[in-house]
Amino acid sequence: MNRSSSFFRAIPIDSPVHRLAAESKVLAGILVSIGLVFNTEWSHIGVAALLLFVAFRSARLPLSVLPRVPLLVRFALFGGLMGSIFSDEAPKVGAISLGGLSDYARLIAIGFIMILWVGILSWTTGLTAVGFAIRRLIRPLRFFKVPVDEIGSVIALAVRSLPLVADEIDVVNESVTSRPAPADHAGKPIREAFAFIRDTATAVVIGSHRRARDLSMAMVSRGSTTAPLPPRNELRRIDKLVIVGAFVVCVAAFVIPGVPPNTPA
Amino acid sequence: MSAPTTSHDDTPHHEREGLTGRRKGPLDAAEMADAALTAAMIVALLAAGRVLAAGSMMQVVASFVVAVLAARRRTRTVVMASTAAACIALILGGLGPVSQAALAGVFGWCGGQSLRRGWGRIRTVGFTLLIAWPAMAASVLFFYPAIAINRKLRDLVFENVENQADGMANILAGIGSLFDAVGLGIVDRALGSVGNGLQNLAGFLIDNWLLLIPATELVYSVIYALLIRSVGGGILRRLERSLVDPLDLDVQPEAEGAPVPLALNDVVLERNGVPVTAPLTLEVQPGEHLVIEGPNGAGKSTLLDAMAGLDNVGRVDRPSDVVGLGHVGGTARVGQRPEAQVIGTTVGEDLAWGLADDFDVAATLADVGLVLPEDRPTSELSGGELQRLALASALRRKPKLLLADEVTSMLDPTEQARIIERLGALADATIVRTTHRDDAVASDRRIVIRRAAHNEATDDERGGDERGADLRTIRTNVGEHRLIRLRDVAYSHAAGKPWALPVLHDVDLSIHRYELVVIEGRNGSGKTTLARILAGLDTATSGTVERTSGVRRALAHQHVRLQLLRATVDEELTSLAGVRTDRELSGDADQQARTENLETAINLFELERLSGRRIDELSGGEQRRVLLAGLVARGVSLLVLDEPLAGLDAEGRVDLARTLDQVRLAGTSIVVVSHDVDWAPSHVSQHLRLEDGRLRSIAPGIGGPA
Repeated sequence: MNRSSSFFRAIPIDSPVHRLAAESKVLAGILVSIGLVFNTEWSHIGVAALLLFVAFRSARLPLSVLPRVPLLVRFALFGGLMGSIFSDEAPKVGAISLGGLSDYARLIAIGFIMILWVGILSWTTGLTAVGFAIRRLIRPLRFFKVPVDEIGSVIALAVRSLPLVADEIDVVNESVTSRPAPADHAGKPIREAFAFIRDTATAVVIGSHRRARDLSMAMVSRGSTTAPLPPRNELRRIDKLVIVGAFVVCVAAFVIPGVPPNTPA
Repeated sequence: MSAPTTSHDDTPHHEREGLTGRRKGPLDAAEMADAALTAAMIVALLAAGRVLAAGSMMQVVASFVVAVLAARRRTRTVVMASTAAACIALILGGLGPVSQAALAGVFGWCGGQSLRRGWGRIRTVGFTLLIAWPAMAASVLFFYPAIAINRKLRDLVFENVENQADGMANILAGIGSLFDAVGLGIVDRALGSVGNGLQNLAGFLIDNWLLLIPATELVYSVIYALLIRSVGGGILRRLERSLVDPLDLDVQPEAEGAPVPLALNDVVLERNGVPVTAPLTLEVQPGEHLVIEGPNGAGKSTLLDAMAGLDNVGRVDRPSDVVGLGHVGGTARVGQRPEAQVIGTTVGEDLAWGLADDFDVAATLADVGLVLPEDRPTSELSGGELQRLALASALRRKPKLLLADEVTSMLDPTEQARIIERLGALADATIVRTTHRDDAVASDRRIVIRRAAHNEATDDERGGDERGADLRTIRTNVGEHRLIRLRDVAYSHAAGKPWALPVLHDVDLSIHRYELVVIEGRNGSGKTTLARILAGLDTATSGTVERTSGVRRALAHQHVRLQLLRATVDEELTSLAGVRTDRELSGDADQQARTENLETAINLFELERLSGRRIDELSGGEQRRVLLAGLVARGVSLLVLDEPLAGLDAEGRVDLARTLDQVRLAGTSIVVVSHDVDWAPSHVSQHLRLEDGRLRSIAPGIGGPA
């Protein structure tokens, strides 16, 4: 099943990572990612990978949750690998460039680590909990006159509608792809692609306009367009520890010079 | 809703400014709903892009969706939708999707301005370059991946670009020297210059990145602007033709009086400017319990919405002139489709929506026979649970007038009786409810409403045109009698994972030509999964599915509208059947067969009458007939229908049975999957029940043509 709605369902097992507050996971993910993406030395990649490994293990996630790399991406990765192997970057062993391989591996490693951080968040946290966490995290912005209640309500309603809309998109997608090739565009791939996108988008938009109509009537039937405040969530000691820890790691990544240093381009 | 608007292609969009312009302040209910659905669409599209590894294409599609919103609503709505989408997109992959969602918002807004004002290409591109191009360039340079301020990442990327160019040049040189060895020095020199070119190009990119990145984004911006203008414009025109005008709706003020008594005096109720009821005269007194009956499309829901002050405003007379919808002691309304009535993300949030009191969640739920944890996401609830949750919210408002539209349609008989009894006990409240089952209690006052005259005419016309006894089989190339056979089929969600959820076990089923198979089962019994396996959309976890070669299968979803993609009936049928309308192929034998199949299907399903009509003008039953006719004409020999009975009254069921007969006349076998247990059309060949993932027979299978 690669239906897109499965993106929004956490994996129903229990673990210390599952029990963490969604805020801690969101913040820790952002902080560690920033620390990594601005400091691309092997030492920092190693630390980020280690943290990722620890988080993955303590979330008790089996390896089978890892998504499969799409074929197109695999081809691109392979092509990049070939280019790097035969590059002129020192050190070289015969025709093989270890320096080129190392540069390539660093770039790919950063990409994978970033994707997996988000993966851990989505595998251990339901969409609803993330919605609440985001709404709590933006609340302090109200001191800058940001209409946080209004944004929060739109987020809440969007989170509510998301699985329904995702299912609709899947139905439309199935319906479009199961049709014989658009009759009049055979042999004209660009027009065919256009027709495909237009048909899909139109069906999705019309479907969700009906939903929007129902939703506005339901809101009026409740006498309010403002979502209730998200439930209070006292951060536990472990949550605070995770946030502070991630912050420390992020700052340290900028302060401590990485080894080996980046080779200038 | 205000005056009826019939839109035509030539209506300039700026005439819609009444809804989009001038107003200040927070979003009203309709804008809020549009913003939320747009945000959900953006995130869902980006998620689909992640699954398909086509993120940037989906970003473009997402900006079409925003453009449609921006063309119809004010800027604040667009800002709210994009902000919310960007916040939620965090869960899809960190800052990348966040910037994609935000940029879809900016590009969509620019495109929306162009669509609303009817700008030409040059103005559209100019405006987009002024607003969206700087935003896009700034995002790449400073936000994600922040190339301008992230020196280390930049160096690493450039290092790799240089290495790739060198590596490719070396590989080409290697290949070239092989050619050189066999005396083809010219190939060697050619490959060498390609390699040099690559290296020079890489050097050029690295030396001029600060110019080249904005330049690339410039090209992208121009393409986006033109795409949004053409495709977004197309979507907007379809939307306007589908008779969905932007709604103007906001929360009603709190009630200072009682919403009852109320009266309608010889009033014809309308929806989207089309009359849907015959003239109605009706009085409702305080404390009355009213049950409204009538066929689909008679206007029962419209009547309830009118009483709630949501539609046909001013046609319902009230001495007090207040409705107080949603407020304590005012009017409470529960609409028809259960998933549309629940708006909170969790059970607790839904019950708290709109009321600022402290309350006992468990007791409130127990009142309607539910036991659910407060933090259960509402997306995990079944239809029956959603219905009762929405009803609990309504009862919490201690309404003087309760409007309930088909609120027990998804419940078992026992639960249904319980809810009817609970409502009956509300002695102080006025209750007006609609039903399609005969469940009124003795003390209720029953009212039957009929369809408006123009609807009946259509029905008579169809009824008088009875025919179709002769067999007109659509040609397929399936030789064998048996189409499909399932043996020991089992299915689990997330198979092989520790949290795998078994859904089906030991399913054995054979389906033959001309058969009509009915599979009933409660929600969660695995019937949708079985339907998807039969239609070939999901693969069984274990067991075998033997399919006779040449059998084409298709699934008709519950919401037929989602499967119809074209604007008119004729376009839809041609597309579904795979018939090409360009001339050069008219001599092709395969094409001729398809054209004939389509003609036969149009004839068989009596669709000549609908020729030239727009899909969105058709009734639900007509839409289903178009879909099934198209699928049959395509040569589908096994058709699976998922929940075709939902929301159908007695007449709709008769109509469905007739359509299914037409499908079988064409030689196509049918599987109907339904939660309804009391539906048995004639000529059922196998009647099965799915319980806890196991299939058992109710009526013995007779197999073969009935």
